[in-house]
Amino acid sequence: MAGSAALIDYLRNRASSWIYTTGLSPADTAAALAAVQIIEKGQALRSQLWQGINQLKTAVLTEIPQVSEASSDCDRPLRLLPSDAAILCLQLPNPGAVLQASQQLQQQGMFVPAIRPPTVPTSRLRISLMASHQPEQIAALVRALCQIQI
Amino acid sequence: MSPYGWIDQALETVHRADWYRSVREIAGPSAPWIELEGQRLLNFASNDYLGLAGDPRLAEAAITAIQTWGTGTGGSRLVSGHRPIHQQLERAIATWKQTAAALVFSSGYLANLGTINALVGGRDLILADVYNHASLKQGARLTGAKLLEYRHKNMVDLRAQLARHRGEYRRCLLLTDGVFSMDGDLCPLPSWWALPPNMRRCS
Repeated sequence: MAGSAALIDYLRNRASSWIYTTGLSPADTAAALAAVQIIEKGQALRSQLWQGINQLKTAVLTEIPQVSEASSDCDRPLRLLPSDAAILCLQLPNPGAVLQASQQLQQQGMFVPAIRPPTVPTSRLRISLMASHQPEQIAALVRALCQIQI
Repeated sequence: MSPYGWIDQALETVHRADWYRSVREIAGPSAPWIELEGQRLLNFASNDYLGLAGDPRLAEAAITAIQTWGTGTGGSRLVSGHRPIHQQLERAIATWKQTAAALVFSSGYLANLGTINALVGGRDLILADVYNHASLKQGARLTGAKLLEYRHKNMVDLRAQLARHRGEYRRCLLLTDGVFSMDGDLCPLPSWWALPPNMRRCS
């Protein structure tokens, strides 16, 4: 939590989930510190991640016949939900369908989780990208998504 | 019948709704390629967006910290669990976020639970986005404050509920994700700054 000196001082005195728990382990704390130091000069990592996001978004909308945008009226089975980050969701009609789709992707070598109620209001495949994904890996995912049958 | 028979029935209901879930074992570190229960797969299920969880620089820092301070802190931060590395991390986060100070909780979930409950209580109002993360939702429920949800990212609904209810309560906390973790969309934070100054905000 980041904030004013007074807010942080207040939280050290009033936030039970900080006061009454064992301090974060030295290993976790040191790893987090190293991560912050890398992120501060990590423009290259962020632009790699965004290249992947843009590649996937464009390909999902133009190359996969079963997909429509969430705002469109057509009744294709996969709907791309609005996103501005490294998470892209394809909504399916029900929990059973999204489980099936996730299993079909796994048979093709892709790990894309099925996220269902009560975690979310509607069932969807949730694709999350990493800066370390290569363009050909994202292309392989798009080919696998094309093969989904529900 | 066993007094705990209701647990089996509850699990059966979860199965029937196709809501049942269980853990699956991954062999190696977080990376684009993983081995899930013996099968080699491309990983599109990680929140390690910048790919740092498997970074050798972080591993090296963690190993050095273990050699210096051990694997556990042996106490809460206020009693005997505070180490120089905590102070360094909190300074680094404050500098990065351009704030005067920062506080490191043991997880994001605990940070949200603890902060929300420190800020508001039974005499207060919480207005929360209906798609907020579970930690914000649960944190808000625990406060005992009046909890009202507004439609996802809907400033019109938020303003209307504020205008209708704000006067009946001591403090008001507006609660939203920045990046909504389930959909990947963003809260339009700039439009929040346009709220009237008497409507206290905090995210």
